[in-house]
Amino acid sequence: MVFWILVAGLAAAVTLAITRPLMRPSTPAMDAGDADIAVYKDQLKEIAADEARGTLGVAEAESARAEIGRRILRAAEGSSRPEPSSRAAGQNRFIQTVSIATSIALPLASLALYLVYGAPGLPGQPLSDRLAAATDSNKPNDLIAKVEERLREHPEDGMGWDVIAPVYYATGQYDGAATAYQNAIRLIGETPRRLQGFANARIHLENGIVPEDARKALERVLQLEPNATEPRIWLALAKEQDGRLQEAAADYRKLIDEAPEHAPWRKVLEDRLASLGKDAGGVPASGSATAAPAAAPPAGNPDAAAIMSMGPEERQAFITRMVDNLASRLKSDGSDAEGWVKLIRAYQVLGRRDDAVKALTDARANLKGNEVGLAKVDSLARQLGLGS
Amino acid sequence: MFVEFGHFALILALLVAVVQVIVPAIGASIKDERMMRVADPAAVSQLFLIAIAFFALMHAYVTSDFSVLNVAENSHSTKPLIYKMAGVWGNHEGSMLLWVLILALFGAAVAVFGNNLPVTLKARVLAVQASIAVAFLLFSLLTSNPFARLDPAPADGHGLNPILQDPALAFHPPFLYTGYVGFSIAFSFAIAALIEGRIDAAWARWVRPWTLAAWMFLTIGIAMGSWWAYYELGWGGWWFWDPVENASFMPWLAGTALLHSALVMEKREALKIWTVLLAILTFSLSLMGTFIVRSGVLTSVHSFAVDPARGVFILAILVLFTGGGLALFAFRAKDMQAGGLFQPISREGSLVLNNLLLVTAAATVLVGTLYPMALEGLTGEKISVGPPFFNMTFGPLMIPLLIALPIGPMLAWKRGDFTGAMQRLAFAFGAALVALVAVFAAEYRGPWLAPFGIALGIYVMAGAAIEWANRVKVGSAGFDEIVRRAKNLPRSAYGTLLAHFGIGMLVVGIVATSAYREEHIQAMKPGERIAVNGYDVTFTGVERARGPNYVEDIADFDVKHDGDTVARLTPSKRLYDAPPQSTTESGIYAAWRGDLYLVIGDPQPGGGYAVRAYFNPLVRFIWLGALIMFIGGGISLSDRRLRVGAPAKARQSIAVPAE
Repeated sequence: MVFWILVAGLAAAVTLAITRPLMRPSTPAMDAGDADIAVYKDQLKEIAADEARGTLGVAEAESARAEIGRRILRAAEGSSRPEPSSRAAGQNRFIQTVSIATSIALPLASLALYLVYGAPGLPGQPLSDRLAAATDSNKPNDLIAKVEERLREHPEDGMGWDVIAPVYYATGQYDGAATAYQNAIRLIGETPRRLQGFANARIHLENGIVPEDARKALERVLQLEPNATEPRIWLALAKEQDGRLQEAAADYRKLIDEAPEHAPWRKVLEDRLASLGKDAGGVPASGSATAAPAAAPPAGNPDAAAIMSMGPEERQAFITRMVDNLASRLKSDGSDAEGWVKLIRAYQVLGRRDDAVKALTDARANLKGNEVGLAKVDSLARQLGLGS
Repeated sequence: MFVEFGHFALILALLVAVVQVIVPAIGASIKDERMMRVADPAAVSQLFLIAIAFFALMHAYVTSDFSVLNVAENSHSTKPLIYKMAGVWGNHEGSMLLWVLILALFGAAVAVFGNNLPVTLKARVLAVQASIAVAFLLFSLLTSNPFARLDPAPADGHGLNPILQDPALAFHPPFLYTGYVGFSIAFSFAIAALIEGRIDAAWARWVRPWTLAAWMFLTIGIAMGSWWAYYELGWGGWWFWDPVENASFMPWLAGTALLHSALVMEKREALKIWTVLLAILTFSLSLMGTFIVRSGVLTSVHSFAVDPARGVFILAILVLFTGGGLALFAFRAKDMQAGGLFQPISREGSLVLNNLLLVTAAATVLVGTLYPMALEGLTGEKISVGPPFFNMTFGPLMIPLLIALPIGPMLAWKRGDFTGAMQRLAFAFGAALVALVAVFAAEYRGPWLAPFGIALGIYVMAGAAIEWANRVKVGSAGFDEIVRRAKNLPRSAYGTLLAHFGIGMLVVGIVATSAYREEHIQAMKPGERIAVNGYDVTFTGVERARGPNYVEDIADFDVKHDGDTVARLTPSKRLYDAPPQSTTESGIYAAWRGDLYLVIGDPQPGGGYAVRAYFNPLVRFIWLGALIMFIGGGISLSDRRLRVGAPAKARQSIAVPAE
């Protein structure tokens, strides 16, 4: 109710302010020629003042005055007195119409538009109010916010982390989930569930690649629960991603053999094994670790993923674009050693180490024969520790 | 309730703007004073209403009201208060709201302070100004409504891009927008004059100060952006010829030209039609900048095509105002009275040269910015027009401009004495020559052109000093007389001197830092040392610390010079909580001869960190120069007197041109 009174008051006040000039009797406006002459007269005063202060010589002041005098004459000639309007009565009626139309249309149209676009009746929900009311309400978001608020104040509350971690995981906030599980493990100890949760969150975050910390957590689960199936599946996948294809294939076969007839993961494992059979034919069994990046999406690194999901924020786009532009320029003309050095360093700074390594390889290929350029790139590689 | 009240106020502002376009325009054409006067309260109400909307949104940010979509997408409850407030314009919707707020502010200023304007002109100016407001308010409400709501509200927001959580960047957009939008006043005056078919004498008197104000803010806004890029992006660079930067640089170049031509117009009633055209072009470039930054063409032409609603809308605004303005100019310019005459060698003549060079430079930047986008749009090929293009095209255009810069103010109005001006500048040539020799002697590295660049900057700075010395008659008058003359010299003259001096500093800074920068990159373990341009830098270690919404690895460096510790630098790498993104914070030791600039990178496999160390000679001159230009503008703006230029008589040499 208060809201509508405020809205009505605002609309009324503005309407009144705007239509007021229409209600007043007309006063004749200053003619444009007169306005010009007023400016020129001001200029004459300015010259006199300058002359008095000594910043303008007598001769110069004189010629300036003469020139302005000519302008005044020209303005006076051009200025013609406008006839007082003979349609005064008709004009007054027109003004009245304009005035009434504005007074009606302005508030009504704004109200109509507001009803279309606005959300009247939806109250503001400042976070502090929501937190205060959270225990009474059953809105999950408010409850999450409440727990978060508590954890910010008491980050040593392991139970809090343990409670919030699966919620994060379920809502797709894998980064938060991983941190929360990690904190819970640190504060109130390892359990297979927490370790598995941590590993799952990390794997999700890396788009399906099993990172080192997740692998360690999974191995720990197996120590605690040697019969668990899930960690074994992931560890087999990790082996495949590391390029240890034959070991992975053996693990898959073992898992399939042990699996119950209708186990949901059976099909998945069979698919993996089949695709492995194809790849394993071409790749030597002791394939090096470099096979893994090929399988990894370019967003494998969390930094890069963050940058890519940045949306149209201008500054962010700016950095990425700068690097991408450089990359595409070097793709079409790879002879610029300085450019390669910049690009490799840029990838390194952005944390896109895989790209940096790839750029290094490309640079070496492109700079064949350019001893100076090669030396630059090699010394950079040494500095950044990018293998050789 | 605040949020919804703000939403209503924004809608009401749109309708008020519609009234402000229609009623005064009709009033002006039927010469009814009452209808024309409607523009004044309308402009003030519009400001009031948009301010309500703006502060309603800010309130939502400060109280973390995540039921507002815009807040949920761009804020986070743990963000420090200052960035909650700055978050209002750290995103598309909010920044458009800031845009219209500043637009309304300028409109209201004309309404309140424009009592000495002819009524018809004022009504038309405000009507044109309101038409811009209508376009952008519609854009805001239809395609990027900052007041869209979410129900139920999410638990927390997505957070502001951490790279933007920085004091310089928090206040960079308001300055930049004040600059951009300030040129709308010049535009509105130009269109009003074209509609009237005459250029009132009061015209230039108004356009010059408003353009100057806009120019000042744009100058400092660009400088802040560049400073931020310098210390935050961790590259040690300060300008990248990036489209975002070019978007603000083009209006600056055109605005600088406009500033000078408006001055000629106020002082001499010359260059009238050209000034009107320039006013239209300058604001068009501002709109172009808004389009480039706000339509999404930047991220990629494809993202523009995927969600074309915003881009097409803002393109339509651009076409309407630029195309409409230029078409009107084409129709009406021939009816306008050309202004006063002058000879090629004169103050006016030198300002025409200034205008031609600046406008050509703006066109160069325009081509370099739009060509890659157009090519990507048409063929899908991504090319980059980087610094090489701009160095080849923009650089050479600046050389004659800078050479002519000190000569212009030495020439008299209407007809000047070129030989006399050159004689007076002899000292500046001398100073430049000394600088040239000194730089060649001191620095054998770097491109051979660089000493000439530095000499050029010194020449511009010396030129400004000589200009002052001449005016107060240093050398020919006694001390008391000099003090008296220095006191009597109008503030506008001091403004010009400072601005020109600032340009000289800027040039010196740019050339020195581009040509003589030192760069080291290496993996360092704690305890290792590196020598950078006379500094002995020791890496002592890295410590982890927790900030309000990030964790950071702070590296500690001990910087020694001649055996004495001069600074401890602590560059760091931060990882923000929301969104999880890392930023680099550089450690900078600023001395007069340049900056020692340290950045810490990733930990290396064998222990130790990748460390980048730069020495950027005289780099502070760049921002100091810009700051001096800003101050010069402010001093000139504080001088409220009319500017009158006294012409030189034929066949009579006058020693000192008068103000």
